[in-house]
Amino acid sequence: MTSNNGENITEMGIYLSLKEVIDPELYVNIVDLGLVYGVILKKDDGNKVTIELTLTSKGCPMGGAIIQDIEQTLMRIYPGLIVNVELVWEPSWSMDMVSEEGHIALGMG
Amino acid sequence: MFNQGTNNAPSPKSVIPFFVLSAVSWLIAIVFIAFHPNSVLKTVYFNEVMLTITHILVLGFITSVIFRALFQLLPVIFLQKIYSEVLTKTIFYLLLIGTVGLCSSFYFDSNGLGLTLFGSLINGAVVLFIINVWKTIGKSTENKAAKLFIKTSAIWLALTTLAGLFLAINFLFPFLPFAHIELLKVHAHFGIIGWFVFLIIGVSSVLIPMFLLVHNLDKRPLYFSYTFLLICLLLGGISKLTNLPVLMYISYGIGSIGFIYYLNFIYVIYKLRPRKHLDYGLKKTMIAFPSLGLVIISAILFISGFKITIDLSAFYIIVLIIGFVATLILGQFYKTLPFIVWMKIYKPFVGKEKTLLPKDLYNYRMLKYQFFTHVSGFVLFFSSLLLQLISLFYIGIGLLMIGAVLFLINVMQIIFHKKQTL
Repeated sequence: MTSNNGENITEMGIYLSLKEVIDPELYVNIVDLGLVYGVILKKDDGNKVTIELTLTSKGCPMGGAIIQDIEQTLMRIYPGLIVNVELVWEPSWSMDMVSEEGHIALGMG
Repeated sequence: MFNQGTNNAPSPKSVIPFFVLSAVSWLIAIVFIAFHPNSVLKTVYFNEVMLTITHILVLGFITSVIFRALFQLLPVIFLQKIYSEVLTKTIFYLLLIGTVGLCSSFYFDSNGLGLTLFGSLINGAVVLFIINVWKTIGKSTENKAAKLFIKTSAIWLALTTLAGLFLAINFLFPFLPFAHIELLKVHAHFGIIGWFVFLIIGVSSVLIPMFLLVHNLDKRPLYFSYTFLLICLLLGGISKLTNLPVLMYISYGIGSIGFIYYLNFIYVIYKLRPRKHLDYGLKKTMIAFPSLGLVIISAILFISGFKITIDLSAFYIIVLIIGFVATLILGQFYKTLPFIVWMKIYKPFVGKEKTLLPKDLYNYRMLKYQFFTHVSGFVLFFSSLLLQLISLFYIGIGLLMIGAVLFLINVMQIIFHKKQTL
């Protein structure tokens, strides 16, 4: 667990924390699925982080739940952090973005 | 922030009643079949038992679940909110009362008055459904092939129920200028091919690639399939109403090509799928497709003049409904209902505490047994129809019944799920 001591928070730390967020249909975390396109941390803006997220398909009905999961998980791990999730569709998601662990979890190992 | 249709889901209260009606109707239909083996084995279109069973299946089970599916999936496919939830609830009650009344009228031979009255309610439900679907899809530019299939299926649904109403009125005041049995066949084919198949192709063309994580597909086979199936239906309808049998044979041939294009589209998705491990909900969905092959073979044998103990045109309709449509629906239940209930119960706690996943809301072992009893049940049931073997019929329908009971238990378990803490 990392406290919200401005110095301790890093983009990589936040990125790895997002492994706690699981896609409810695929049962694989969003980092290994390659859904997280970017983590932009602005410490001079009151510790505000923007997560650039995509979904496996545009109308994914679980999108709202995943976004809420990201917000709540990061606010729980980093109290006081302002979380902003932006959905992005370019480049569109493909299997090339899935990590080796993700491939194994999807049965492609 | 997000805006792309991720929060357009309808309220659970407006769609869950359709799930219940559907699961209960499936079990009732299987029980009816089990208690009337002779009516099914010696399939004749126009007997009250077959008409009762057929309408429990096509209205109570299939149309109910399709209405529900569309109200849940249109926001996903077209990124729009459902036009009116009041209409959705009204449609449910009209469909419920209409189906119960219509099936009772068939079973107790009501002489046309009940059929006309309850058939009118079904027609009312259909009009409201079409308004809700067309207004929801609106000018969406997403998934054009799916949009074409879904909008067209709604028109065929309207023509189907209108033809049904004409048949009912004809019982009271005979007015049809041709034999009503011909309109009955048109009614059946418009419903099964025009409504169910068009709709299923439209929805599955989006959902199956989505579940199997396949992207950038060539959509041309879908448009070919659409064209061939549309011509098939039009020619079939004209042949029945003008008594030109040659058109019907052409219609069967063209329809088979339409099915082959669609099957090929699904096969490509299956081959390309990155998601290799399929859960039983998806397995059950995929196992429905080979039964379409049996439908095509039956249609080809039928146009070749091949004769077997059962009327081939009736056989392929039974395979299409129980083998393809019902199997697909039973599989897709597990890809929809648990998610609706999960969103209602667990979404407020997501990220704040460890929660169950949608798949934890039902008994997976029961789903597995349901899968095996259903698949072995329909294989034996179809074999009993072809071989006219009553013992095989009872084993097949018995297995289907066990599957239907397991299914109903699982559906109720999902619907009445109470929040659990991990």
